[in-house]
Amino acid sequence: MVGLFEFLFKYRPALFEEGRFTFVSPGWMQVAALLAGALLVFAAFSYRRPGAGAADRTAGADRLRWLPPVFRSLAIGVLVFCLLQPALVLSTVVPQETFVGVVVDDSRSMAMPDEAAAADGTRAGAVLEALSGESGSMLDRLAERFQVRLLAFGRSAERIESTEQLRFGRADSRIGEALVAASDELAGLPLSGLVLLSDGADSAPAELGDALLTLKAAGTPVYTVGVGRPRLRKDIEVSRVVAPRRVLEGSTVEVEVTLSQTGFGGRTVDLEVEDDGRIVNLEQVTFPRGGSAVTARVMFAANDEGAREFRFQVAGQPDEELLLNNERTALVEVLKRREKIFFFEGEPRDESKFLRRAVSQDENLHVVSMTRQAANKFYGMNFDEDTRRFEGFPTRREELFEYSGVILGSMEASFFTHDQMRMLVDFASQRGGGVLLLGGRRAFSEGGFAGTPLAELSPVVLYDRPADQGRPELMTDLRIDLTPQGRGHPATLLRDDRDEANELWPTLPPLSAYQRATELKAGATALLQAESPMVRDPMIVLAHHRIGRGRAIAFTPHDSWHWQMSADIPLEDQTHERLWRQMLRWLVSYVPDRIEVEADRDRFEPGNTVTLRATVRDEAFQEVNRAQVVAAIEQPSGEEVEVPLDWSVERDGEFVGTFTARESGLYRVEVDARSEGELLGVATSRFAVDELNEELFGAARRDSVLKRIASETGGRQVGLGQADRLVEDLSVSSEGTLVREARDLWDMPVLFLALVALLGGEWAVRRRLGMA
Amino acid sequence: MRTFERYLYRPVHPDEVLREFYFTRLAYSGHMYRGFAGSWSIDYPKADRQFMVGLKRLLDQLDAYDYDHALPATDPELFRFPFLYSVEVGYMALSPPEREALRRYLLAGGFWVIDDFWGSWEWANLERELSLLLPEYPIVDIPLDHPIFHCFYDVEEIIQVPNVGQGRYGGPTWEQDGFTPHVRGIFDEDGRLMVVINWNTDLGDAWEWAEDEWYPVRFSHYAYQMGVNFVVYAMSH
Repeated sequence: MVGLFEFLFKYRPALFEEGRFTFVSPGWMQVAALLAGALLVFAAFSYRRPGAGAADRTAGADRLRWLPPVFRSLAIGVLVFCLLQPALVLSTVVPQETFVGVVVDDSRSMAMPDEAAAADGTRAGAVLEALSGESGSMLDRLAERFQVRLLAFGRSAERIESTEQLRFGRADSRIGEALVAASDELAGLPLSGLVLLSDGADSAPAELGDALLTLKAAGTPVYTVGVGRPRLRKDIEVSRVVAPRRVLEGSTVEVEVTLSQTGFGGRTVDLEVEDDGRIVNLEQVTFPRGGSAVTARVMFAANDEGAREFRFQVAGQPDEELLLNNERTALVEVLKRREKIFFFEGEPRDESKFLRRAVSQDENLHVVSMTRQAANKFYGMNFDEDTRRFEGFPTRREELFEYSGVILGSMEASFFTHDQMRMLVDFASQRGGGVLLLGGRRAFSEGGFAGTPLAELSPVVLYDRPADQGRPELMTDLRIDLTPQGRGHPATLLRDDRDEANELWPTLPPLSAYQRATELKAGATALLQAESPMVRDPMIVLAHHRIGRGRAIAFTPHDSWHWQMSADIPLEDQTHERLWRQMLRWLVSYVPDRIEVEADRDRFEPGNTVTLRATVRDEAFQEVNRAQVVAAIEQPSGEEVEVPLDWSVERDGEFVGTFTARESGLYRVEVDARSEGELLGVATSRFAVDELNEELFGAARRDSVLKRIASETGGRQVGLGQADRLVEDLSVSSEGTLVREARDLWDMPVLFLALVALLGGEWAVRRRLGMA
Repeated sequence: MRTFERYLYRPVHPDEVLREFYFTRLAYSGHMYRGFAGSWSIDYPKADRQFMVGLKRLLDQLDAYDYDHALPATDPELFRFPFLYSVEVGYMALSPPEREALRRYLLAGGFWVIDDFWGSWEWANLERELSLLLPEYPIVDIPLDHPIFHCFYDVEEIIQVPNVGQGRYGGPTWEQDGFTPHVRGIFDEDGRLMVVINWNTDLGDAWEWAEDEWYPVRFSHYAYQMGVNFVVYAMSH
């Protein structure tokens, strides 16, 4: 389109945008042109009156009668326009008095062999040819008009004297920082702009926008020259890995791995998960034929305590162009600690007994229970020296909030005070804990939860059930099966093999439930459901939803213990134990601690600035702003550095500090929070420092980045072979040492074409009317 | 199991709703006892019903079935009722299928209370049966600080509870050579109590005759405390 415009109007639209239109002819000629125009209008009006012999002509011919003079008049108009000498006035730079910075991407991704313009086929080769200085090359054309300064960049930009200093081996390419550094380097000189030669791969952790704003403020336009293909022909890439930062030892870790591909649609590949060289999972992933990316949910057991680096990789395919982007690593801290869960049960029943028994051997779960045996007589179990003792249900937030999870059994809402119900909701929404609501004759709607604060916790819709309706009806023979969302969920995966686990559910002995739960609340997700002859719609068996920081889960049957005791279940079968271990681990996963610390990412490159963010709360999980927080960072060499963290002001209880990680390896952070000398708590975290090769991910030329840089700084994006255009664009820049230049427009091809068309049109009409 | 004994079972009425707790009596095979049905049915069904009356009053939150409920060990339905009660096990002679089912029941999570058998001869019979049933688990005395003595009532000493005849007329509390009462048990490898053995004592009679004005109340009082503790323990451990 631009080419057609340039052909017709002699110059590119960019020059019309930059320049100002004017006529350079003398003033009297312009007055004469106006008079001629008036005469032409008068002549045209004279044709409107019917002439002699009009009756002899056909009606059609009469309608075309006015066209020849119009065509003739317009043709004369074009000639007059040319005689007036139209011109485009541009500000152009004075040759050799203005500077241009050529900023070259010197990173490893420039070695990609996907640039047909280069003799050796690589991006680097194409750049070197463009900058060779030989006649006709980009550098040669720039040097004809500008003082050129060469800069190379990776993590930062520095001046180089010649292209021989380019190595194309740097591990990083931070475009924004490099451009700002180049602009600073050339500050004070009459600078026409910067020319960026890059594939657009930007591995900077910071947002590009800040750098672009700086360049815009400095008035430095950036002209971007993209190298490489905008799309690799054949490549598979592990684009993204979303893994939890911490899990309990022995838990199933659920990780989302996004694989992108070009040229491998329809192919099935093996996605391997490695833990310290040991393959812990192998998942087959099939790429869709139409799309490019696919997200796989991978699950594996984290059985070894400590900071584990799990590697997710796809074996290189025979004809793949880039293999270095086929793997990514995630740092997961596997914790050996006991998560405390409070189980409040309203009546003696086998469900709670077998549930507690199922998890009793799990060293990472500590279930403290309180069961009502008779009115106001409770039986507390598993309290230890670290647990506050209380009778019944806690009345103070500190007592309840020391737990990570709460299981609410068959207990009617009327047992609780309003404050206790509110506290339980706050336990989920503010403290971030998990609440599991178990089915039973006094639970959910049947327990009068509707219309009370407890209703907020339920992921299923509750209904009003008057207390005088008596004993709720038990729905029996519930055959339970997974919903689509439940397939492969870590809580419902009862076998290591996912297909086997999916097929298992319908074969389990049927259960029964008092809850007529058939409708989910908005935002809730059902994982298990059951058909019952007693209700029309499928019964919801297992569902969950988020409440503020925490989550609530509903499990509606009241007799899952049959999966342990049933005569149809082999004695050695672990289905029941596994279900409840997974459920309770899921319940307390991602539950925040009182004191927490995290680095802004789990992996960094050497030299990166690590931002540490700690959250400090008191026993009632109220954020504390007046605290002294110090992070002790143990470096891979064993050396320890102390970094004080300051209140961020942006958020209550948030403390921030930074640290530059220079050594490669694993770092351990321990945060100590005190208030008026008293220890509030301690938290630990880990992060890793290594070469990440981030720029090899999304390795195709990123036109979106290059286009954004150009458009936001006032520059333009040009191709490698468009040196003339680049020089021209830079020449008409508003920056540098400038001089005015008028460029003729009278010889634009569009005017000649218009003249030919008008005269030709007049001739054709005259022939039609028999006048020629 | 003799066919004629089956008339003793009172099946759960089809109109009766399912409950959380059933006081299930084990109808085991055994030697002919006193010329009538099997020894398992001694004091049945009155003791069972009478105990349920007291139990429901004391554990008012327990959703319990009101009546007697007897099942043979080979009935697959047994696995739906994780609490089991037996008496007169000195006459018990389990068949291999019964033994297999009962072993599986206990290891899966069932809880078995044994009561009302006396003296060394009857003990020897039970010991032999249990050694065939759970050979790898020893029988041990349950110490008084164990939760089963404190989970609802605090029971500080083990009392010998006599049968109704001797209790009413103030005779000796022992039978045969069973002079000292014991509460023994079998624990699984995780420390869970699977079997509680009340030897040289008759809790069942104390439940059954609790309303009898001539039967000493201290025996019934103790028997109910122990019975309630057994149920609370069974439903929480």
